Amino acid sequence: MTPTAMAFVSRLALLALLALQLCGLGLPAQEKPKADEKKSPIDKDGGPVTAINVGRAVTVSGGTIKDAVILIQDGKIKAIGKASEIDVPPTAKIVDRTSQVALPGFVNPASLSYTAGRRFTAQGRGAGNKKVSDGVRPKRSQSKALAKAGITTACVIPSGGGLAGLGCLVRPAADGEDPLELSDVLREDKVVLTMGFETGTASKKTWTESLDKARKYLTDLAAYEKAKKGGGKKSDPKKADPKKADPKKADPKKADPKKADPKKADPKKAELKEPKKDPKLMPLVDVLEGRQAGMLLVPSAMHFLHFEAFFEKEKSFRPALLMAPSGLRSYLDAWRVVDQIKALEVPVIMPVRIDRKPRTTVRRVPQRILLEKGIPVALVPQVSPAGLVEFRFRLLELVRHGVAEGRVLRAVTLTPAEILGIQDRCGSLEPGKDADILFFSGDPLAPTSDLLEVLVAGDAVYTKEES
Amino acid sequence: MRHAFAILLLIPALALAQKGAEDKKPKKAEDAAAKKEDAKPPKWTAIVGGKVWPVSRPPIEDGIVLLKNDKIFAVGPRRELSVPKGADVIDASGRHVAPGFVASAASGALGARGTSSREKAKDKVDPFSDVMLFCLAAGITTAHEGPGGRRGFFPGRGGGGSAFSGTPTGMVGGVIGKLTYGTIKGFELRDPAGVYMTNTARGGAASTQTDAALKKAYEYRKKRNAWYRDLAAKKKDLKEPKADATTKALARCLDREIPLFMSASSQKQIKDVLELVDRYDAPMIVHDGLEAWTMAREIGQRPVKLLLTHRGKNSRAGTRPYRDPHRTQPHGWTIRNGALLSQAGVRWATITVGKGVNTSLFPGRDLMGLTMEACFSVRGGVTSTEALRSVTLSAAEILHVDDRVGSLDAGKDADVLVMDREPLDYRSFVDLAFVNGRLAYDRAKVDLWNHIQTDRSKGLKKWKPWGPWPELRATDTPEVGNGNGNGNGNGNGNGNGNGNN
Repeated sequence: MTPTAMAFVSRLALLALLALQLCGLGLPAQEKPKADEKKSPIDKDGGPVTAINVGRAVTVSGGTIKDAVILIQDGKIKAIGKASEIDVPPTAKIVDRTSQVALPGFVNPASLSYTAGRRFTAQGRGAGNKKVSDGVRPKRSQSKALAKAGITTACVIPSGGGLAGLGCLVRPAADGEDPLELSDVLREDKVVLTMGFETGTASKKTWTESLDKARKYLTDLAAYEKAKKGGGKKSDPKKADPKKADPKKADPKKADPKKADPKKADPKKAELKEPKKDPKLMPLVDVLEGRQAGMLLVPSAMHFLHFEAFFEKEKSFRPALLMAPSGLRSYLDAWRVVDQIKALEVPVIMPVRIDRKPRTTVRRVPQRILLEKGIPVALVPQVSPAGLVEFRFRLLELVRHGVAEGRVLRAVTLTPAEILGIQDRCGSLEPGKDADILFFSGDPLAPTSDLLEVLVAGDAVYTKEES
Repeated sequence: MRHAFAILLLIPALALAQKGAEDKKPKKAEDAAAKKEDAKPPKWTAIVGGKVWPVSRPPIEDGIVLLKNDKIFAVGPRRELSVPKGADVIDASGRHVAPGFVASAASGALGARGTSSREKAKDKVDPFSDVMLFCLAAGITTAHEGPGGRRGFFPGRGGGGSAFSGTPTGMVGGVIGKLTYGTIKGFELRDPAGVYMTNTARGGAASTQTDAALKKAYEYRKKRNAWYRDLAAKKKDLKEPKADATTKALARCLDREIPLFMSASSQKQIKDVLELVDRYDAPMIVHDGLEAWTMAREIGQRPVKLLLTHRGKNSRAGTRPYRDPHRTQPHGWTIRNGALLSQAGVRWATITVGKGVNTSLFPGRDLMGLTMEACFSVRGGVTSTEALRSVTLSAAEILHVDDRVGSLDAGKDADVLVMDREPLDYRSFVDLAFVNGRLAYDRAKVDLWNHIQTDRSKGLKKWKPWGPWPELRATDTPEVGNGNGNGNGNGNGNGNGNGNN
């Protein structure tokens, strides 16, 4: 073999590997419905079943299936697979979309839909337990805009510095009577704790205080629970803090009676009463414990560097980073700190738009730089009506700039769903997930293809009118 | 050899110290310490082969500057120093190695906006600020910014220059920081940098609030010193003398612990400053000092240092033309400002006329022309050694940061420049700038000066933005009315001929 041929083969092998990685567990996913088939995935007591025949189903999680059938019942995907492998029940309503391509609905992890007159900013102070759903005012026009953009799930987040508040999931509403109610669009409340960071001494102080308080609550709680379990054994207080207690023993000279006393007393106090719950702080505690998804607005690389000390101090504080300037619009310099982000192992939410450095010809594709580094990236449209209209075309622009198509699609479906912790419901075409499906007339990212229909939980929220 | 000998001497001393520690420390702690050292071996960087300008000593031909982590470990000729294994070796042969320059009066260079006594610069700095990059390209690695933020060096509406308002009674603030482009670690040198007093009060600084504030601080200092003495004598029923924070800070200025800055350009303003210095034995750092040369001897006799401009700014107060027929005394600005002050033994550092980065007006006006500004003092009669000192060691000494920056000496911060010509050559470029031992600026990699190829810029990546200019005249000018064909290709003549036709 000549060296060039060798190089070609190795490149092919690499490509194949890449493709495999992109597809994830391609084969097993196709086999899954087979296994389910024997049990019959259809719930006999459930509602009517719809079987949609599509020319191609891009599942995101399990590769692309040609000539696929999607079985939908009660707003859920019950089965998906090749037409030859799926048993369609005779009672099912059959929809023919064999000329079309199915894609999971887009998930927008950072949106301001249904809220008027607000913008993303890390300025101002929020309260950790503030619910953004209190300020959600559903509008038909916005619902239509969302649906037309193919966004079936959007996470509305509050803005502000420090602990800004709790975001909620919304969807485009199904056709029905106006005015829209909150229940028409709300999918889930208190999905993610949104936080913001602005540089400055005051802002840093707030963050130090919040993290210290949350950590103190957790240590107090652990000590309390240990004391509770141990039935008030005398040896408990020492065991509660082995790291802190040991060096004191080893070093009798330094054993300062003043300092030792409160530490011994602390667990005793905890024995008596449970640490107080500060409702404003509890969401942060949940984020530290991994019970609640977290999202931190760090508008630029500079902000990230200033926040880095907090990541070093609090190892369990690893929220997704929303690296976006106000309005999600202008130049993104996340690429400057790509190594540090990689080391943190956190996903990044960033605007879909490729922008240039203001007043220069410097244009980079930060999305590509981050993705190629192996950092999970979720892409969000610009906050404006135009942002939604152009969303899909911004995606294809990224493909044009060298980002693999599979990566782009994952960045607007499964990755954001994982960031929000809703990957069991949204983000891909898999049995058991909500039937949030987009139907395109061709390749989903091609400018020549059209979005024909959008399903949210099995209901059509957008249908392209035939002209 | 001197260094080698010093190291040899050090080793037994260290061993002794360790032995002493062994007895005291428990074993576990020592093991942990040893492990820590194993985990992070020191990062060595050796800049080899260049002409080294340590500033504190005469230049060294073919020298080595050895950096250990963020500090300078050793500086010397190549034959006396060896490079440790695993060091990053930077070949500087044919180039010049100098300490990073100190901008003793800057605005915006540190990339921190909207700082105040509450909002510290280290918490606000933008390590990706373009201004910071521009300054690094000009060789500035340390900058002093007054408490005016971006509005000007000194606080108040004046925004620099001779006329400014703010706090005639003194304001604690300012920051001295490093231009740590790309990181915020090791940014702060001193915050607050000192006390700043204005010089715009009616009737002169020497006769109003400024005088009162200094008097208060002077009295407070007397009482405080008495209290210290009583404490030392273990007297009973002692009360600490009370004062506000500014007065306490001013008293520390009188102690010569922190610097006291005052802006003064004209003779009148400088006279006021000298009067205050005499009354309260206050050491002053005078900013601007445009007409300082007229009273060089008086300044030289007092604890007054200058942040000096060698060129006047037109259309500003205190800057009249040099030969004013209506004045009999010498006045105005002269390029000999620095030279005359040096003759009188005054210590001064060079500052630029503009405190930010701006390419408008005349060249060398802004921070990017700091060395050019120093060169103007050479034109006025200062030695080039002293001119280089005025943007490095002298500046560091005046700002009280000479223990950290200002020269290439072992133990100081590793702020080192590799330049393609002599530091004060007006044609020289900074090829590499190390700040705290970290490469903060690489000319070849930053889209700023990387397209300029100089004959000295060896090792720089060749980068051609476009091909040679098309020779428009030779090919595009139609040869009309020149049927003879001179053969000399007199394009100009042809062109003119066409125009006339």
